[in-house]
Amino acid sequence: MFSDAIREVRHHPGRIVATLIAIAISVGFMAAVSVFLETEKGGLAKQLNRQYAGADVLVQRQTQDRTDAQVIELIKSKPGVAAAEASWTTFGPVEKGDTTLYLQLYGTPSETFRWSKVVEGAWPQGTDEIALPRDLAKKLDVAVGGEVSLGEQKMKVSGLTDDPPSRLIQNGYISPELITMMSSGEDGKAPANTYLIKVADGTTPDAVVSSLSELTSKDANTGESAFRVETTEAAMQDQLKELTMGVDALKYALMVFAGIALLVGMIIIANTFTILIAQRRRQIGLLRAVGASTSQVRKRFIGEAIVLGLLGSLLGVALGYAIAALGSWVTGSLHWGLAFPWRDLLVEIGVGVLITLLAALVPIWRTSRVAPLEALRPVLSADSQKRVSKVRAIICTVLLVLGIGLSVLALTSEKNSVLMALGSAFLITFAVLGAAPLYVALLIKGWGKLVGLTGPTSRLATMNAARNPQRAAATAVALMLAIGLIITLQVGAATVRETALSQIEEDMPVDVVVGLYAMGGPDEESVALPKEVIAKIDSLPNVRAKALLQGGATNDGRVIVALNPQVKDVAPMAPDSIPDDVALVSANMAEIQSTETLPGVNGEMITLKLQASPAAGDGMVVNDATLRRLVKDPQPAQYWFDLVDRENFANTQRQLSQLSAEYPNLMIGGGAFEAYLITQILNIMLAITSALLGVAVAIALVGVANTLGLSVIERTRESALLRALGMPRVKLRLMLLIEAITLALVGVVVGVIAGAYFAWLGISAVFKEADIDRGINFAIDWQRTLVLVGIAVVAAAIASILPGRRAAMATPTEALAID
Amino acid sequence: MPQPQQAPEVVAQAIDLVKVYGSKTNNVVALDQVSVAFARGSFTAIMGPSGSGKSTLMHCLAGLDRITAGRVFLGGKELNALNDSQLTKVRRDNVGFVFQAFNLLPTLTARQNILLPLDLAGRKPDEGFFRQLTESLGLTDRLTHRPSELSGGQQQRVAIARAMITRPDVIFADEPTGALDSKTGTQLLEYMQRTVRDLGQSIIMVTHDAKAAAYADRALILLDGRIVDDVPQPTADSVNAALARLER
Repeated sequence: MFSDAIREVRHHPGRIVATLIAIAISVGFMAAVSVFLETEKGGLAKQLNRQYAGADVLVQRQTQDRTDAQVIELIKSKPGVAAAEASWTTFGPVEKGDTTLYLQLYGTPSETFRWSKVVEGAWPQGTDEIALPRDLAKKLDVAVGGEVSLGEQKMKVSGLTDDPPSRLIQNGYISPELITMMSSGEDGKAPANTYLIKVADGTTPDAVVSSLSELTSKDANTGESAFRVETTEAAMQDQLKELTMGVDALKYALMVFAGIALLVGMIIIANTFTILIAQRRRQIGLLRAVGASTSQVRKRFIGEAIVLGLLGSLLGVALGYAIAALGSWVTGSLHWGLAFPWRDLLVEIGVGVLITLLAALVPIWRTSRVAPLEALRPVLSADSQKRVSKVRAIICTVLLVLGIGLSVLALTSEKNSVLMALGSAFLITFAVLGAAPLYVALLIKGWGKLVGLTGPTSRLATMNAARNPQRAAATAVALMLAIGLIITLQVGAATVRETALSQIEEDMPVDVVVGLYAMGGPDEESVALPKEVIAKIDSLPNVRAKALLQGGATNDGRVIVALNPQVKDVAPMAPDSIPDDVALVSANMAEIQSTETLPGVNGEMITLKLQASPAAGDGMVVNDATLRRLVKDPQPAQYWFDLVDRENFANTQRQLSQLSAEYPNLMIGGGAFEAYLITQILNIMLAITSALLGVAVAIALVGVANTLGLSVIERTRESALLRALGMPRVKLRLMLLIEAITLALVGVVVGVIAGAYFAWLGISAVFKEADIDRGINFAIDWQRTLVLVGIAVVAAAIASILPGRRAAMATPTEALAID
Repeated sequence: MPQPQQAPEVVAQAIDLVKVYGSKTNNVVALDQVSVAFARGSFTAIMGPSGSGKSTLMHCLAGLDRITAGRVFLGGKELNALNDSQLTKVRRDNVGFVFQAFNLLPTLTARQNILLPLDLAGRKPDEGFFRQLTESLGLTDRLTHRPSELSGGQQQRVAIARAMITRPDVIFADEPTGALDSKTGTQLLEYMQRTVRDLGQSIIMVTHDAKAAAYADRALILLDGRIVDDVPQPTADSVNAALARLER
């Protein structure tokens, strides 16, 4: 069974190469996820382990009980303890020039407990020295003796350590003195969280753990123990368990995308087998004619499917390893060696073989219909094809009607909108994909009418694309699925963005608000905008109008500003004046409460009537007189401004963020800022999911190449005939190119339409269920959509290159040969 | 009966034509110094046993295959001097082909198949000629059918119409009756003969059937890549006799 299969694979590698690629990409995706995540996990665990390399037992503090000195004294009093010390660690920003690194800072441990070596210079002493790993020093561009700043403080680099490079955990070392000062609070009395114990020779760590039982005794009142005492080994295992849970969660999330890629891969594999078997009907007929039973014929093909699946999966594992190696090289975990999660990999290879076999089963099953004589006939009888079509048409129509019905229900019913929308999307997806053989050929022919006007080449191309509806449909369906999913996300994201932006525009008409957070307390000075900030804002480009508002902090630390005539330039809907004792607030706040009582400057209580106005943004706006009664000495407290071009906020944002680095309690808000944040977050999420779904698109495009390649093999005689009749080679290649683009376009167009509909349906349903009765700004991100369509079309064009070459290589004499 | 004219115009010619297949070490000489000329408006049959080089000779004359040495002329052009795109143009404009396995494009209708060479050349069809052609071939009511809906004889007639639509210098036919029953085959050969007599079309036909060769004006017999006999006004008997001589 397998020897025949291997022979077939070896003799016709061209026919199966696309299938192999499809399987390899699907399995490679899964393998890359497993290997990469395991490698990261292993690297992280080893890195964490390193820090306790010198310790045998760890004592971890749970409550603020006992001082360091008391704990250390108690530990040292036990037999078998060779050394013990408190271990301090904290986070801190270390910067030089424009580079800032957030480092995990350790108090340099004593020699017994050290896990790294100083390769140049010395360990830090005093409160103004720091030791850095070599790679980080390089990143900061400092050498031993150089200067960096840790927060506000200038530090001298005392030495470079040999810690391995990592993106996930980045270390720095400072003296125990400094770290105690930094982390133990203002009184310097808060104790450390962890104590390291070295066990003397001849004692086991377990013995020391049990001798420290008084530290772990439970408090009578709270039922909690003050400390956790564990051997380092046990602590590490706990940590690994936690890490594994996190990694597994991520793994399962990514496997959803792998599942989509697998599904698309299956469509391609099924299509390939259908074509391969159609091409070998003669061979099958011959086998049957010389006495092979149907099961013998099937076994041959099943053998081929298994060999193909195994080969593709192994290639996939190799591909996955390459990607994982690249990924962990970037994160630095490669230093600890690539993981070999053999259980995962075995499962993934199994899945690869299984999907190949499953996808191939239906076409293989059909070979049993091939009678010895029938196999020698070129195509299925027209009748049987029609019958299949009718059944298919009926089922798909029913599904479609049900799906649309559910859509309507989802948008009108009071409950379960999201669930019904989901069901509707599934039904419609099945209907659209299932009915593809019925309409894909029609679409292609319609498109053919259009491009056919350009000449015989494109007419022939579109006719070729449509000549085998099943094949064209399967190819297009793979693309529809992949593109449809991405478009659903794209349109969904665009719609959410537009809807959110219009909401923001409505609620926060002021583009940017710059002020200071009140630091609490009745210190009005604290909210006065520094002159440098005002100067900086005055120099900003892209500002259309601005208003500097007087204001101050109330006694309870709230910032209140006063209306002035310039506000109208920035927020046109602001009233000309505000009555006394009235405050403009956001609609949300006005809904919750109608009045607000605040302490006045003279100690009396002032009750303000709250009035909703979009001009207020998130703050409180009163008139000048009211402000003076609430705030002792009003200062320029907030700068409001309106941008010429709200879309172009990134540049403004960059300049403002420089300011906020200098003034930590600077508040930046306003509509443009919120819009910018939402856009940024949505863009990042969209980019990540698109990239993950891109794998499925890649497989679908491999399918286009596959269909073309196999069709060209079938049509060698036709290509030769066209050459004999005077079609130039270039035109023959052009024909394949147009054929590829036609197939891709049909898949893309249907995918885009269906995806856009699903996005609209989904968001409408979510809004309905969440009871948000504002209008949805349905939006298509044309730029992104066109880029996606462009990528698909260009990739399809590239996919036609090899088949086109093959077709053009057909010599005219082949047309005369008899096969 | 019209007598052959004095010094007839030559439409196709091979001079010292050599065609070698395979590599330097392992080669097969398919044509060995063949020199032959074909008159315009003549119907020539090329005969010979399998492997005699008859198909190769046709391929080389039609510009389908590159030659190893010698010269080939077709319609006044020296084919061995042309590059691939020029050869493609010659095939499109100067040559018509009829193959044994009907060789129609399955996606096109009969009409589209017939007009394909003009379509490829970007030329407008001459509707009058098209009608005359399809009427004389009895295809008028079959023009909207696809090849799969046509009988073998009809398919071959479509192929002939396609070969003739460009009014080529020469039509090359490779075993045109090979896949047809004898009655349909006879009708086809009679039609080809009429085309030569009435329209002055030049036809070069490769066949192994002596009865088919009898419809030609001339039969060339090939053996091992050389022309060994040239039978004028062949009959089934004279051709069979010539072939029988080869075996001695």
